[in-house]
Order: sequence, then structure tokens, then C-alpha cells
Amino acid sequence: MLLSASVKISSVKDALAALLKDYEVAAPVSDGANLLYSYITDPNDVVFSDQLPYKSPKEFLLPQTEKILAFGEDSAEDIQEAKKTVIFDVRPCDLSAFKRITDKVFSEGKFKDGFYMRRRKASATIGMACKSLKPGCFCNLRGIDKSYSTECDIFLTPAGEDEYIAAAHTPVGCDLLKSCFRSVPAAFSPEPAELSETLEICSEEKDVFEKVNWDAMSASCISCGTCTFVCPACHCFDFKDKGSVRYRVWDSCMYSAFTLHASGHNPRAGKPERFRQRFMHKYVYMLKNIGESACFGCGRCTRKCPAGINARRVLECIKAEAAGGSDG
Amino acid sequence: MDSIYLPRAYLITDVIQETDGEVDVKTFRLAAKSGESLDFMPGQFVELTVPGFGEAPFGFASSPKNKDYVELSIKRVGVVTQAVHDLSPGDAVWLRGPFGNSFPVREMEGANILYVAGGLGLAPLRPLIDYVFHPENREKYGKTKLLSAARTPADFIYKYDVGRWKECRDFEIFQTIDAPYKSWEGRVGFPHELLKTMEILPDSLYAVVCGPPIMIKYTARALKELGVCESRIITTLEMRMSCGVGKCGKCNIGRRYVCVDGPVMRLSDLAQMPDEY
Ligand SMILES: Cc1cc2nc3c(=O)[nH]c(=O)nc-3n(C[C@H](O)[C@H](O)[C@H](O)COP(=O)(O)OP(=O)(O)OC[C@H]3O[C@@H](n4cnc5c(N)ncnc54)[C@H](O)[C@@H]3O)c2cc1C
Ligand code: SF4
Ligand code: SF4
Ligand code: FES
Repeated sequence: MLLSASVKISSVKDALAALLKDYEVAAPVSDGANLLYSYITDPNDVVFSDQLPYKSPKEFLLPQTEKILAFGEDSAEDIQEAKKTVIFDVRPCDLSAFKRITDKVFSEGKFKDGFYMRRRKASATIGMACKSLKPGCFCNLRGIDKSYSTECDIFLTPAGEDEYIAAAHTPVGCDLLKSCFRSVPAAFSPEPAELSETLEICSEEKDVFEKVNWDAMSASCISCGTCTFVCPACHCFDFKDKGSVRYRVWDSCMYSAFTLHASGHNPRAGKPERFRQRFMHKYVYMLKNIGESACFGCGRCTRKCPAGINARRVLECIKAEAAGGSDG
Repeated sequence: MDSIYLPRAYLITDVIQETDGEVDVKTFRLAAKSGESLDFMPGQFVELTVPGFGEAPFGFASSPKNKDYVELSIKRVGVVTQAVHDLSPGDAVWLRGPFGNSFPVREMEGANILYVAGGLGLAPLRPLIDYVFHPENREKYGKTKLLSAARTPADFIYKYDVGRWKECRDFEIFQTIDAPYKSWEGRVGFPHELLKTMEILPDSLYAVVCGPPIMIKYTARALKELGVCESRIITTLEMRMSCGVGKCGKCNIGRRYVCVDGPVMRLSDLAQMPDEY
């Protein structure tokens, strides 16, 4: 922590107004039915609550649809527009998903994804503690402390009735805290959380692939892809061309067209194979490839699944079946 | 930004109609508009764009020793492949790459090589064949044989290469078609059946097998039965791809991404991987 200060809750809207002078600001707002992250123009639109917006704020780093290239006569031009953005009220689960999954996938290794990195660099995150686990949340089983995170620029922890303690974790966070928030220096030593044992799949790839009864597991899934779109850690995409412009768009492993070959052959033609891919990619392949499972227990997929599929229960079943007898 | 997603403009300098059978394959010779060369190794692929239609992956089909142009052999199957088939010399396409791993040419030095191609599978083998035949490299490799299979005589690609290849030292070519055909006097039968009639010395052999998945499966099994070590039976895989660089999440088989961990795989790798390709 580079700096800690106390901030009156009543002054946060003024801080957002100050931020709006130099940045795009994304924050939780209500569309009448749902709470969702959206660009704001008026701080009074921001909803302050313990609820989690139904979609993660990944769209500000990896937009659902984004213009990336324009083809000219002799050269293709990078036309991405990445405006300076502050994402406000991001919870520990989402902060970890960005830091540990999308940052690693897009910014590390031999090939770097400049489009993601540019947006990430242009963005600051202001995190916020969760007061309670919401129905479906299981961050506690995924090693996440709902009350505190350092994986952001500033983290706000409620302190008493009308105050936050703001902890700045990066130079950018310090600058924002000093320049936009009315704050007074205050000591802060967050209590280390008591975390439950992590719910992780430890079995071999082959066992998970073969022993789990994926047919039964996926029986009620309707392949709508909602689970992947609301998830902070899912990041699969496709390119689409319209005229001379190339777009990057979200894609989903829950769709059969995702892997359909031009010959008509499809390695994951059936729902069970796609369901297996989603869970194995998250909890087996990612763990093996980058040392982290791509799930932080935000519970969004569970809350929004029209078929009532509960990610935590699926995870528990996979764990048990993969570790169990050969006929699952 | 020097982006992995930013393609460069190429000019089509030549188009060769390869087949006039059931499958429609054309070879496109492409030269960078900027004049710069595209350095790659046998087995690698590029992403090709036809603006307005989209992007698709294709294996390099020309010798990596050739710095003036690259060639891609493209079968007409869908939107992008149709669009590129509609183009002529003088038209532009866009390439980004090279991507993927390559055939283990260093490790193969000193060994004999058997190439087995099914139809368009000869395309990804051609850079390897020509790499090995290159005067700089020929001494480093032993005897080479090519077993090339096609559905009908009209479906063979690179017919014009056969004469050139036959003149190379220590090289034999066997061509076979799936079923008897009026004017065909060559062999008839699937590659995995013909293999059993050929002289195979498994100990000093690398077998490189490219073609449709079913042909790869049968051929690899036959080679194993003939005693060729699984780690020296090599193939290339195809999965649907978008990014080509391990980001978009499309091309995985188990935890491996075909675009970065492949497309070249050994049979011993495949044995470790789930059967979802
Ligand atoms: C590493 C690698 C190397 C390759 N090398 C070669 C090569 O050397 N030569 C070669 O010819 N090919 C090669 N391929 C295969 C080639 O990439 C595909 O044939 C190509 O991507 C097909 O693109 P397309 O746009 O023509 O087909 P598309 O039309 O885009 O088809 C793409 C997918 O979309 C589906 N689709 C298209 N239209 C529709 C529709 N209207 N409704 C529903 N679904 C639709 C198709 O079924 C297909 O699954 C290679 C592939 C890989 C991965
Ligand atoms: S949200 Fe539910 S029904 Fe839709 S694809 Fe995901 S698991 Fe299946
Ligand atoms: S898989 Fe579900 S619970 Fe886990 S991070 Fe994604 S949306 Fe949240
Ligand atoms: S093609 Fe995108 S991950 Fe392989």
C-alpha cells in the first residue's frame, strides 16, 4: 500500500465528478431491471449498494464489440480508440480475474495483445469491499477475500457509518486519490481474511475429461452462452469484418459454431463437449497453463443461467466424479 | 503499434489451378507490397485476409528458402476461401504471421524421411520436402520417400513438381488413388494399406503424415505397427482458429493450443491429449 486516507462517503460523488473532467467513468447504474456497469455522465446515476452488477466490467478492457483495424490500399491501420477510463466499484473477484487471468493471457508470453494492453494501460480501477456473499457467490471457496484487494489502483473499505478508508496501491492510485478525492491521511492495516479451503480440481486432465458424466452434468444447459458473457474471466473472441473494418467481438465456447470446421466437422459438436470445455478450460487447463483457475466465484453465471445451473455445485460434482470410480 | 493482429499487404503474382476434380484447389503466389520477405519454417502457417470477407489460417506451401514470394494452396470451402479463389494476379490479399511451431528439422538430421500426404495434405509437406532438397541441407538428411494419395488422378496437387523432385538424389515417389480409375496406371488403395507393401526401415525413420484426420489416424496406426517410434511419427493438426496466437480460446485440444503448441504434433503428443479433434 502506498497511501491510505479516509474519505467521506458523501464526498465520493464529488470525486466522481472530478474524475469525469479527465476520464471516462464506468460505474454501477440501474437500467430499471438490472444493475450493470456503464459509462456515466452524472455521478447521481451511480448506484451505491452491496449488489454485484450482473455483468462483470471486463467490457471496458475487452469490449463486446470493438473496431480494431481498417484496411486501406497498401496498409492496414490500427483504429482502436482507448479512452482514459476509471472503472469504479470493482469487487475483489473481478479485480483478481483481470490481474490473474486476462492480464496474463493478453500481456504475457511470446505474443502480446496490444489492443487489450492499451485499454488496460488507459484504465484505472477503483475497488470496493463486499459486505456480504450474495446468493450464488463462492469467492470464499476460490481464495478471494471479499473485504480487501490489492489488485487495483485504489481500494475502498467502509469504515464506520459515513467513511471509506481508501488504500492506494499504485502511483496512479495515489495521484487520483490526491487530486480527485477530499481525503485526510489515515492509518490502515487490513486484517488478513480467514479463507476457506479452496475448491480446486486436482485430478489429472484425462480423468476429468473421461470420468465425469458430462451428459448428465449438461443436460439442462441450453447453450445460450450467458455464463461466458457475464463472467469476468472468460475472454474468448472472434474477428468479424464489415467492409474494410475489422471488429473484435466476444465469442463463446458454449456455441457449436465456435469450433465448427468449414468441412462440417466439429470437434465439440455436442452440448456435453462444450460444457466440458467451459469447465475444463477454467479449472483444469488454465490452472496447468498459467497456474490459476479462471474462476473467482463471483456467482454471476449461476445467477444468470436460465437453466438454473449452479457453477459451484457443478464444480463440486466434477471434483468428486473425477476423483472417483471409472464409470463416474 | 506493432500488433500481432496487423496484417501486411501482399500482391497476388500468380494463380495456379491445381485440381479439376471434386475438390477445387488453387495455389496463390504472393509477394509483399513492401518488398520485405516473410521468414518461416516448414510447418508454420499464416492468417490470410480478404478485406470484407474475413480471415482464415493456411499453411505455407512453398520453400522457406525462397525469399521473393510465398505460396499458399487453398481449397474452396467457404466464405474466405471462395473470396480468395475469386481473385486474380494483381489483386491484393493481407497476411499476418508466421505462426505456430514447425517440423523438428534439426532433430530429423541424419534420418531417412517418409512423407505421407493425403490430398491437400501435400501442401504443408511441400516446404519441408523443398527444405530438405535444398543444396544447403540435402547432405544432412538420408533417403526420402513420398507416398502421395488422392481421391482421383485429377485431385493430385503439385503435379508439376513431380518431375523436379524425381531428379533429386535418393528420392522415391509413390502415388496412389482411392479407387480404380479409367486411365490410371499407378497404384490404387489407401496409404495405410500401401505402407505394408513398402520397404520401411523403422529405426532410422521419421514419418511425416499430413491429410484428413481419418487418414492420419489409420496411417499413424499402420506406421506404429511397422515399428516406427511414436515420437518420430509427426503430423499437422487443423482446428478452427481466429487469432492464431493463443488468445482467442478457439483451437485448443485439451490444454494445448494448436495455434501455438501446434500445428505440428508428434503421435506421442497426441497420445497424451484428449480425443477432441
Ligand atoms: C493451421 C491450419 C492450416 C491450414 N492450412 C490450410 C491450407 O494450406 N489450405 C487450405 O485450403 N486450408 C487450410 N486450412 C483450413 C482453412 O483454414 C479453412 O478451410 C478455412 O478457414 C475456411 O474458411 P472459409 O472462410 O472459407 O470458410 P467459412 O465459410 O468461414 O467457414 C468457417 C466456418 O464457418 C462455418 N460457416 C460458414 N458459413 C456459415 C453459415 N452461413 N452458417 C453456418 N456456418 C457457417 C463453416 O462451416 C466453417 O466451420 C488450415 C487450417 C489450419 C488451422
Ligand atoms: S448460462 Fe446456463 S444454459 Fe446458458 S450456456 Fe451457460 S450453463 Fe448453459
Ligand atoms: S465461472 Fe461463474 S462464478 Fe466463476 S468467475 Fe465466471 S461468472 Fe463468476
Ligand atoms: S487460434 Fe486463437 S487460441 Fe488458437
